[in-house]
Amino acid sequence: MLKKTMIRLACALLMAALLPLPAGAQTVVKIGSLNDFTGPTSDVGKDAGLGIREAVQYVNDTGAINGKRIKLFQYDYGYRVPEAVTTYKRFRDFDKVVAVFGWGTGDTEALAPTVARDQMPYLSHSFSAYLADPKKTPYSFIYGTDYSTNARASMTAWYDEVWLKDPRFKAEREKGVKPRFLSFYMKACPYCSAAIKALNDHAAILGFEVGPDQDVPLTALDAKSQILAAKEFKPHLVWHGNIVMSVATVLNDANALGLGADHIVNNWGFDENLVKLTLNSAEGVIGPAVVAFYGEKVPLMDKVVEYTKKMNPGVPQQNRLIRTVQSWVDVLLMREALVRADKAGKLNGPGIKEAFETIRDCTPGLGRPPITITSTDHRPGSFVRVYRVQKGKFVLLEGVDLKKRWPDKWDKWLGW
Amino acid sequence: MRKALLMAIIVAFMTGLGVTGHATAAKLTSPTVELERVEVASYFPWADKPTRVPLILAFIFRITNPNDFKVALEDLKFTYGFEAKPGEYFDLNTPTLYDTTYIPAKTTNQLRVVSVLDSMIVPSTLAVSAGARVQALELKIPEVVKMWWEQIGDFSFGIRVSEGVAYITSQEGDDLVFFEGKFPKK
Repeated sequence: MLKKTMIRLACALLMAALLPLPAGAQTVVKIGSLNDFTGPTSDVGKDAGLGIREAVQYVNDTGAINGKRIKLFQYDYGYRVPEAVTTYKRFRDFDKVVAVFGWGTGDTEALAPTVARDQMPYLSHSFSAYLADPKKTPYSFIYGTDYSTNARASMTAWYDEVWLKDPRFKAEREKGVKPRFLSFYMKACPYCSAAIKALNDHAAILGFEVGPDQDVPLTALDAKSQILAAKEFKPHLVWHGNIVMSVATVLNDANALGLGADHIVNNWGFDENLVKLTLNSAEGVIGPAVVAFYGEKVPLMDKVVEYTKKMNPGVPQQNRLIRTVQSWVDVLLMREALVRADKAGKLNGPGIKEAFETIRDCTPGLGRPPITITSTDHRPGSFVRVYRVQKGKFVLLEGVDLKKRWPDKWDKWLGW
Repeated sequence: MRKALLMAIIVAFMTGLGVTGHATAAKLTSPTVELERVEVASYFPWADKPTRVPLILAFIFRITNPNDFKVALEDLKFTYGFEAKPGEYFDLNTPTLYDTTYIPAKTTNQLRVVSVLDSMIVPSTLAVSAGARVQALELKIPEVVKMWWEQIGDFSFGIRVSEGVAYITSQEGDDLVFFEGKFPKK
């Protein structure tokens, strides 16, 4: 009798093994990733792209998505919006991904209405504030504080810690002089200009005088004419909205031509390469960092370093950047949402969106302040760490919490 | 007889479903990936700005599986760069391939990876990723890019493949295979 039962049981198990999986059952979770390995943001984009792949491997090695491996479809789109749109359609129609890692501001904003219509969760490296307002872009998410928040925080930190305290400005402060401010950025580039409206608003709040913006291409290797034009305004503080190579060009020319201003830089222009490319010109430069710098002693950094060595031993460690760390936070935030959606039995667009919007005070480590995302506000937080370069190192200048500092304005700043 | 049948069914189930998961990677001998050659897959003659000229290359790799069982290439990534002055290479692109390709036991497959460069994009790639080095070497970006487009057919400059990684899976475990190479092979 027992033998018969055992044989029946074994036969049943064998049949189950031979049966195909039920329709809709997933053994892998497919995710698309748009990256820039070749275009005008490739100086930061390549490191970020490598980081995405390494972090996905880490996720797959450590339990994946409740046991379901991530299959990553990673494309270089060269920072060209039409290429991004075309590749997104491939992700959606052929690769059948459940979510996308995005990159640039221009393409992410251009795709936002489409991903909303397709109900495709889209977690972007672009921190454009526009992408954080779920009324406008319900399926768009960001893992770092938005550009406007970062810019306001950087300006605030300079105002608090430099303008109000530095003896260089004592005489002018006592005379009631307003700090003079202007911006260097590529006007035609959506990323570079994303924070300008918020910056000029913040300058008014803090009582700055705003001068003429200077247009600098992302690929600039010379910015002397812009520096000379800016010099006429005698700025105390300038903003750099471009990325590292272009910012380095402006800093070097500003140093050579004696601009005499302090500098605050958008987060994609502020990294380990900036210090290498500018040497002394970067001394004192201020900027936000949404995560820890590469190799900092923070939780999980040991794994980041381990996987860079394990997966890309041909890339020298000294070339790895904070962009790798950002990508890890990007992937780990996505994992958090996917795991929650899967547990709820909703590993699909609406289910993943819903899961993102349940995240409260959650951090994967890596120096990322706790993230909260709600159905009415996709800004992941209001706290920004602002650093200053001192003797070639990034030293924390001030942690600025915009929501605590301006509680009456924080809600109104959503989306711009 | 019944016992033998029972055992056979249970063993079939255990192995067929993969209940025991991946075996240790120790049984998998690393496959190898080698750059065999680079081809100009399709050629469009140089034209000055604002004309956009593509340069379409094919990288042919030899992937050898020394094992007694098939392996799967899950994804493959590498960086390639062109030589601007003797020994001075500039990385231009990092293609990624994620189509699953099976390599039978004791077999060498050829894998063709097609990659497109754009005469309007390459100058900005050089400026943002290697602007300081370009200036230090006193190179003129437009001249270098034009030279690459015009001389690619003769391969009069070197092409370097670096940072190559292939992700291999098999019934006996997973593996990362690293590779690099140069073409022409001088």
